[in-house]
Order: sequence, then C-alpha cells, then structure tokens
Amino acid sequence: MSNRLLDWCFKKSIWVYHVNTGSCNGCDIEILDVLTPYYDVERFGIKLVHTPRHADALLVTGPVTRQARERVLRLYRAVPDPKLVIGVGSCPTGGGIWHDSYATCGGLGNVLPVDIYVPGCPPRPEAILYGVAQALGLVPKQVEARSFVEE
Amino acid sequence: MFKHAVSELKEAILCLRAGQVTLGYPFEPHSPEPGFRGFLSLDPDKCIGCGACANACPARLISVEDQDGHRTLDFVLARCTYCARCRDVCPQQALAMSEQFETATSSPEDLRITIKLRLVRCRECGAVVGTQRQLNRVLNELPSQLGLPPEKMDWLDLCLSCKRTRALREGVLTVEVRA
Amino acid sequence: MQAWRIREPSMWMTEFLTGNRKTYGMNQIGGVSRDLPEGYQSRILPVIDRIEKEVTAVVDAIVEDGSLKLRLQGSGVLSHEDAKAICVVGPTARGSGVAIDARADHPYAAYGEVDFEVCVEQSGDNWARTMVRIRELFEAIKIVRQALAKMPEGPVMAEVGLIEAGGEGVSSVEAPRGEVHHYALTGTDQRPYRWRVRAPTYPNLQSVPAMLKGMTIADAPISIGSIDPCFSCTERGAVIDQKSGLTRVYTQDELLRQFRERFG
Repeated sequence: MSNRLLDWCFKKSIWVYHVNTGSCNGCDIEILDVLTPYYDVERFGIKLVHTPRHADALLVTGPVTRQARERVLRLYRAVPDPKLVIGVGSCPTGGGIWHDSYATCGGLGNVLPVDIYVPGCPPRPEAILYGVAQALGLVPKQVEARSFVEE
Repeated sequence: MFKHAVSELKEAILCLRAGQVTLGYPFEPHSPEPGFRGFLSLDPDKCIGCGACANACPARLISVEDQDGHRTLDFVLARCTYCARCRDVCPQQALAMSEQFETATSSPEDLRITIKLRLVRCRECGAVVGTQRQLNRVLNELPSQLGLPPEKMDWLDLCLSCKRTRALREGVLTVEVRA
Repeated sequence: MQAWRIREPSMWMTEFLTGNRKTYGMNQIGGVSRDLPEGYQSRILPVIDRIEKEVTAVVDAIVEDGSLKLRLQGSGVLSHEDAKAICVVGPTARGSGVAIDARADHPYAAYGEVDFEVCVEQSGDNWARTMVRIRELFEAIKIVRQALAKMPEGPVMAEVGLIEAGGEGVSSVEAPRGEVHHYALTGTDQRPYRWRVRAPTYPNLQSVPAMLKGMTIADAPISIGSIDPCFSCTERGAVIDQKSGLTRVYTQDELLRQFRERFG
C-alpha cells in the first residue's frame, strides 16, 4: 500500500539534479531553457535542486569523461531511492562524437543504469520535456529500430 | 531612494507587460521551423549502398559491411549529432532529416536503421564489385551519357583488376613502358 | 527570467536559418555547408529590432536598481594590473579597462568590413562586467544590421582539393567569453588527427582568487558567475598512455621544462 502511494507520489513532481560530465554546455543551456517562461517546466512541479540528496532524478549531460566518472558514481549513490537517471543529448546516449576517445567512457550506459535517453544535439526543450514525461510513464515511446532487406 | 523606487516600478511594469508567454506544449504540438534537422529518415527504395554517407559522417556511425551476397549499411543513430552531412552528400537523396524530435527511449538500440542490399561479385574472381542497385544506376545512366549501346556493358560485373586484365589482354588498353 | 524570455525568439530565428537552435552545423573547410534560406532578411530584422527594444527597456529599468547596484558594485574587483598580469580575456578583461577584442585586434571573417566599438569599463567589478556585456549586445545588433546591408551574392563554398595529412592550423576568434584558440593537426582520410581548444574560461578562472580576496562568501558565486565560466573548458592537461591506460598529470614546472627543452 505504501509502495503504491510512493509510486503515485513519485510521478507528481520530480525534483531534478543536473550533472554535467564534460559536455559542451549545449544540452545544459537547453535544460535551463526548459525552465524559462516559454517552456516552463515548473508548472509541472519540476525544479532544479542544488544537492543530489534532495533530488528524485539525475539529469546527466556529456560523455562521461575519465575525471567525471568517479564523481558521477558518487552522485548516483547520493540520490535517495526511488530515483531516475535521464541522459540528455547524444553524448550520454552513445558517446556522441567522442565514442571511441581515450578520454571518455563511451556513453552513460557504461557507467550508470539509465532509465531514459533523450537524443539530440542538443535536444530541443520540447524533446527534453517529452523525455522526462516518458520517464514518468505519461507518454509513449515514438522510435523503434528499422530494418530493410532487399530480397 | 526615489530612483530605486522608480526603477523597481519600471521592472514591475516590464514583467506585467510581458504577460504570460508559456507555449501550450505538451498539450498542443509545437512544430519546429521548416528546415529543422531532426531524426534521420532513410528511403529504402532510393538507397543504392554507395557508402558516401559513411565517408562523410563525423561521428562515424554508419558502417558498411559486405558479407556473402549482401551489403549491410548500419546506422547507429544513438550518437548522431544531426549535422546532416550524410543528407548533403547522398547522390540519391535517400536520406532526409525529418521533423521528428520526440525520440526519447530507454534503449539506444531503438535508434538504429539497417539496410541490406544485394551485392554483385566479380564473375571471374569473386571480389566485390558493388551493389546491384549501383550497377543498375550505371546501366541506366551511362549508355545515354556516352552514347554506348547496352550490350557494351557486359564488363559491368567484373571487378576493377579483372577489368584491367581483360582490357590489356584484348588490346583495348595499352601500357607504355619507358626504359 | 525576462532576459531568457527576450532571448527565445532569437533561438527560433536560428532554427529557421540553420536547422538547429544551437549547433548550427554550418562551418566547413572552404565555406559554409548551406546558404541562408529564402526570406532570411525579413526574418532577422524584426527579431533583432524587438530584442533591441526590449533590452533597452530592461537596462533602463535595472540601471538605477539600488539593490542590484549594492550587490554588484564594488564586489569581485579585478584591478587593471591584475587583469594584465593574469592575461584574462573577453568581458572579464574589458571590464577592468584592458581593451582587447580579437575581432578588432586581428579581424577575421567579415569583421574588418563592419564598424563596431570595443566596449570597455574601468571599475573592474561585477557591475562593470555586466555593463560590458549589455553594451556588447547593442554592438552585436549594430554588426548584424551592417552585415545584412552589405551581404554580397555568390557561392557559399570554395573549391577545396584533397587535404594533406600532417598540416597544422591555429586560429583565434572572439567567443562570448573571450578569445578562444583552436589548433588542428590534419590526419589521413580527410579527418583531423589532433584538435585542441584553449577556451577563454581557462585564463579567466585564474583571476577568481584575485577577485575574491577580502570579499565575503556571499559575493563568491556572483564573482565566479560574472566571468561566465564554462567549466567544461577547464581541464588540466593529463597525459594518457594509450597502450597501458596509465595517466599522469604534469605540474607547471615539468610542463615548462619540457616545452623549453623541445623548442629551445
């Protein structure tokens, strides 16, 4: 009963902690844009918090550089359960252009268990909103792998 | 003190005049501007498997692999940066950047396009010549451009080295050796 | 928040002009990858006119705001001598009276053909840096209007042959935070082999200790924010052995010694 209550509460207004693991800041500015008057994510109760211990979700940008890897793991452990990990941009999704660089870990999936990826370079604020809503189970997924074979 | 009060009043008027500008998204769609570079879409009927896109992609996410009788082009769109270089270089205009941006997913494997095309191998040595569609394009376009009849195209399914050998043997091509 | 609201139409404008709000994907070797779409003039001019009008109203409202001035004036002071000694760049330097601007000092692209003013303030505090940035916004609008009026016809891309491996190139341009330098070493198959950026935040951050000396803790976030730091651009140099994966960070003395031994 208390678990169902927690699940119901969790969907209501998640507080988000933003982590930059070495991104070019494009995705970071688009995340800040989601808080601005035109897209206004605060009307859904979602706000940025200043410490991971108050957060429900981690919003991660950037290919995880070597230096950032340990800090990202510590941040993940600091966020209390239940938690969501959302990777924003092409860099956490597949490593971006840096996928085979010696200085990065090749994507967030190699470091943390990720709940949802929002691809884009940078993703539009609407796309980030959609990704967060999808993580909460409010909207369906719209992409799937496509394969064509010439017989 | 007075100046400060006037300034605060001006700030308040500014905010009031701005009013509410929040867009209706996600309850209303907000389509992007025309020319927006969104998720890649491939027209499987137009692609000839030339691999120009694989050469141009900065993230090297397009791989071209020839195996047995098929050429497979694999687009790992998880790391796409939406630069549209592939669309710019494609000779068949088979690639387009759609307007789709709601592409969030829990698994990057959903962001993958593969296309498998029939391969033509050299009838003498078995090396790869190209895809059947590439040869079809040559067959369709080259004779009209050069004024050649189609029956002159029977060397089309030979690989480059076999073509050279045949040309030297039949005297179509000569090589000058300087002492 | 009003500033973010005013900025948003310029994002939509760039989406119309280039296909993306932020990563324009235009720069190519030899030119730009695509021409501006039809009707770009009629799209750009109303947007910048509106931005200019709204920013003027905002500046008019905040310039006499007592609480803002109390917070920003006199805090985070970077003296003229310190600014020159630490070699800061961009609005951080221009706020302390050092008139450097890569667009004026070594003009690139079309900056030699447009008139603009290098905005300099003398007091070196957070307020000076804010005013420099606001004045630069108006200068930028001036530059855009001049560029639109002088735009020539013609191709957007020059013929570039095959690029040889082993070529080196360095460029300095003026980014919003200051002078940024790029170094590229070309490799085989028409791709770069090495690429290194010296971002402007790297020297600008060195000025933060000088700014914070004697200040209270409450002034620290504003002073650090006034240099507009991009923390992604502030990596120390680390040497990674690709085969073994071991890393090593060089100290300043070791780096200087290596550099002097190699280049004399």
